[in-house]
Amino acid sequence: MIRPVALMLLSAVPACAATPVSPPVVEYRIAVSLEPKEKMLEGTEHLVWRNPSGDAVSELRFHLYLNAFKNNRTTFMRESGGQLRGDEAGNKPGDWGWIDVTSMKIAGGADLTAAGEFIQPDGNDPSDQTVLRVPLPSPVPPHGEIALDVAFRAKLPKIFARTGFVRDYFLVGQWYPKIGVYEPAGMRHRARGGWNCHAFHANSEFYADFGNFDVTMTVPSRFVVGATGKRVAETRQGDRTAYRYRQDNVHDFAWTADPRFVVVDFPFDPARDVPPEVAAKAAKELGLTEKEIALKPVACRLLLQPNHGAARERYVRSAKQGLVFYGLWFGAYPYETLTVVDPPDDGGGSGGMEYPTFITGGEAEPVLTRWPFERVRGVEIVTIHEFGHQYWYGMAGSNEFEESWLDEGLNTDSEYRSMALFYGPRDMAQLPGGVGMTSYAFAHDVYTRLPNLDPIDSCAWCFASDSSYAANSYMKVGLFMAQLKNDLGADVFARAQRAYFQEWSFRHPDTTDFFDTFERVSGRDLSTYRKNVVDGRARLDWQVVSARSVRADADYGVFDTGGKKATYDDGVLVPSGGKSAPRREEQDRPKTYATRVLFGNTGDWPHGAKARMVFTDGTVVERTLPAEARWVRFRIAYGSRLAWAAVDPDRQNPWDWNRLNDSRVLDTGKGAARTLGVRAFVKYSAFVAYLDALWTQILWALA
Amino acid sequence: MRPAPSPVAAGLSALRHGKLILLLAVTTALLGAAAAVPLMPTFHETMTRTLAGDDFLRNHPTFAPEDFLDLLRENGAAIDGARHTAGVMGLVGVVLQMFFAGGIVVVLGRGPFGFGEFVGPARRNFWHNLKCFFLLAFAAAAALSAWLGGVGFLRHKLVEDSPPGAPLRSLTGWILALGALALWAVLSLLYDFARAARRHAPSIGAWRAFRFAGRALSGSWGAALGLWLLWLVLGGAALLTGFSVTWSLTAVSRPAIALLAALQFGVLWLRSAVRVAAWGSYLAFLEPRARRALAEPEPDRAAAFPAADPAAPPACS
Repeated sequence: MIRPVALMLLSAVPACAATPVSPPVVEYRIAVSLEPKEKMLEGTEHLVWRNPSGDAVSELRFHLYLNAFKNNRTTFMRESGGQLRGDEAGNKPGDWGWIDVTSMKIAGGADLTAAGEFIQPDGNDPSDQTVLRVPLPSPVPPHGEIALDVAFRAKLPKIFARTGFVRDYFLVGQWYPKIGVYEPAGMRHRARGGWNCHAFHANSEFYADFGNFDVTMTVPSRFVVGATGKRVAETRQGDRTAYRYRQDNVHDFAWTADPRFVVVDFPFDPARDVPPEVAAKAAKELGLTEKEIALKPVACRLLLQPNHGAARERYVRSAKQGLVFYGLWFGAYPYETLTVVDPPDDGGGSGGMEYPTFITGGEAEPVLTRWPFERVRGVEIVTIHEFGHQYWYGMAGSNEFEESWLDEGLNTDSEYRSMALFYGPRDMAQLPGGVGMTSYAFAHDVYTRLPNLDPIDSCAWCFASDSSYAANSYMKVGLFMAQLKNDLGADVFARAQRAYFQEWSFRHPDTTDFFDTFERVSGRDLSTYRKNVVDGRARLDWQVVSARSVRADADYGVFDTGGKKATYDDGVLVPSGGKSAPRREEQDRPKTYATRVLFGNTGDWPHGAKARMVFTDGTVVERTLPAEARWVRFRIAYGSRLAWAAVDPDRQNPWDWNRLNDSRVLDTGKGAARTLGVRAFVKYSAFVAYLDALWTQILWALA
Repeated sequence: MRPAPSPVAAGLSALRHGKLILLLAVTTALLGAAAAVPLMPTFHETMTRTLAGDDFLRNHPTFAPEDFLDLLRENGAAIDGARHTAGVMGLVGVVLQMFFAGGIVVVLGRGPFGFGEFVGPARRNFWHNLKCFFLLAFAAAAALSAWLGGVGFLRHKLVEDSPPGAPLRSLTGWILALGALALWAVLSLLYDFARAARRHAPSIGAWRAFRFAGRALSGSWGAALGLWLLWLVLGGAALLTGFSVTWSLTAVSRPAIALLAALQFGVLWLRSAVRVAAWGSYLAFLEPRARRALAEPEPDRAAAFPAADPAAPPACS
């Protein structure tokens, strides 16, 4: 059934915040049944797709993601080698996964089943079956719609890459025939309309159109079920139960089933759960009133593994922290529900993943939540990060295939900021003895250890390696956004980011949209950031190249004075007779030191920095090193020696490659640094001796 | 007649051999210092001439982890070098302590002794100890592989379908780990007692020494394992506590640095003291059992070992 229908233009800027497209591009009504023993899904799908473009669309394209796990010839398996994020694909006969479309018909019309064919839009791996192209007997007219009835059968894989089963735990993600995104001309700055429906790549996540989901899952009654959206019905049918969930304005639907889940309901109540000082800080940065950034209640549910009791409160607290931070700074979470799934220890491959209103946590294994690791904040990081995807993946709906940084990267920045807000300077981990780690330190370390082969903005499968994908899509963006925040100021940055989210949510923005918004709000030309940092691979490395401070008042050598030759050594007159002279006469001049400090940027990104020179009498001299300078040399004549010189002493350039060369200590200005070589040796020789002793202690019998 | 002291009391009594403890401690410290020497030039540059290094050495509260990670990365080659040197020095330490053990088993618990009285048996027993070590290494590799491989495989099959956190998983996990530890403890005790056999039978060979150790420990395994665990835990606790305390100290003046160095050496001394005490208690534990162990006939050689004779030439040289 095909008929024209009017659609809101996707390119229109919403007058107010976060307005979903109405009517939605897609509407799914799915009924699926789980056979836990066979790990099979049997389902039917009624799909309504509305053509968002002015083009007549003559074919449809579907993602069949589960076919990525069908065999070792798929694009996903070839690229990943069967390993992803530290997880390994099963290789037993029952471990593979696949999906078959057993029937596809236009509602009340033609059977399309036989017409479908697998295509490889990204060029390679002819045996890949993750994209299905279905030619239509007649095109969907501009802004028209088509309704399809689809039947499918799927075998879930042993948990790998976010989805599948282990024992009787099921995390069912990317599991149904999912229509691709038809991008009209102009959307994401494309010249002509067309399908954006990539094969499932190892390093890629997802991209889909917004719509309404109405899904009924039938499972044996012993299972506890959680899913995207709100449960609207629960019907017992013999020894099975059908759970019906609905959610509007999302672009995916995932669900889980496990008989062992402990259900923890924890409603989010803004009046109780938003710390007043945090709300005040957000309002101040954003220049809004607290009323304008007020949050809404959310019904939250944690599905916890029974042996993860120690992580329970940490999940609850961090999910609420996510709701607070993202809600206050970007916009109130608009959905009624949030489900947090805690995967079992042997199902870690499904952890740390986001789906609309439904996230999976991780790092909650008992060994990771007990002393001495109870303040290693894996649970918090994963929960806040995955919740944050509700904004950048969920509502902004960035294309994770082509511009993963707009989701993973922006979300990494938001995660770092919220972790720092709630957990302080050792946000990532605190161990006994004061040892700790910050998110930014971790990101910087990843950034600097990277071979620097790729820019941030690249398609997910175009990166040189999975580590390059990870570093560029996550950590480098965290640093870039921190750099941008420092350069623009926290307030301007916060307002620009809120404007970006508010204007582009439910509209699939791209990199240009991001920079356009930030430039408009900040009033700054940010082209150097895009060119060098996001589209390029430029590094910044300001350093103190050299620093010296020597007596300038003192004469050395032979001088003609009153017709006689006088020899001076370090300003002291050496009487004739040289060494044997009993008396030395010092020149009567105030002491002056000539200080020369050379600062240089050996990176290839022209960006300014602050220089600070501190003298032994406590005098501080600060100068700005201009962005366009390759090097700057200061010559200062002053009555004290230079104690130390540093570039970027306040750590305002997170993009700086090497911080170790940012300073040069000459004297005792910062506290006897030069005398501490002895301590360095003592500390490290003792360290090695300890290692030696510890080893022989462990190998007790050998000593 | 005074009753023989308990093994633990004998161990504590062995602590009066201050020079011996000092020798072990100094050896460890020297090996550690030698391994750290490759770090000196680069650490001098980055630790003492940068604010980051200054912050780090002073354990400055605002010390940024970025600096530490940069420091590790920029000095990676030197640190790798030092790490490898430390590994080699650890091996040298093991060999040296094998050498020292040869002297310890003879002189400990027999009143004051001179340097020559210690070095002589240490030299004579070195090859014996080395052979005992290879026997231990072989036995440990075989036994632990069999245990971890065999029982580990059975455990895997048993718990494959049980959920994480199931009692069966924890129980079998503990059995696997404790079994491995017990195996290692048994082999370790056999090794120590085989080396100690030279106290009573100076010419005994390595293989026979292990059998001697087995006979000596027969019927007393519980007590022996208790002793082993006691000294292992005490030594480990001393080392880790001392490490934690001294590592977190801030020393910004020369006297403070000297105090720090002294404390750090004190930790190594403490660990050496525990080792000497352990030997003292092992030897006291062995004393009443040695004669019986020596008197029992060998199946492959009817004649019993001759009585202990310190003047006898070494069996293996």
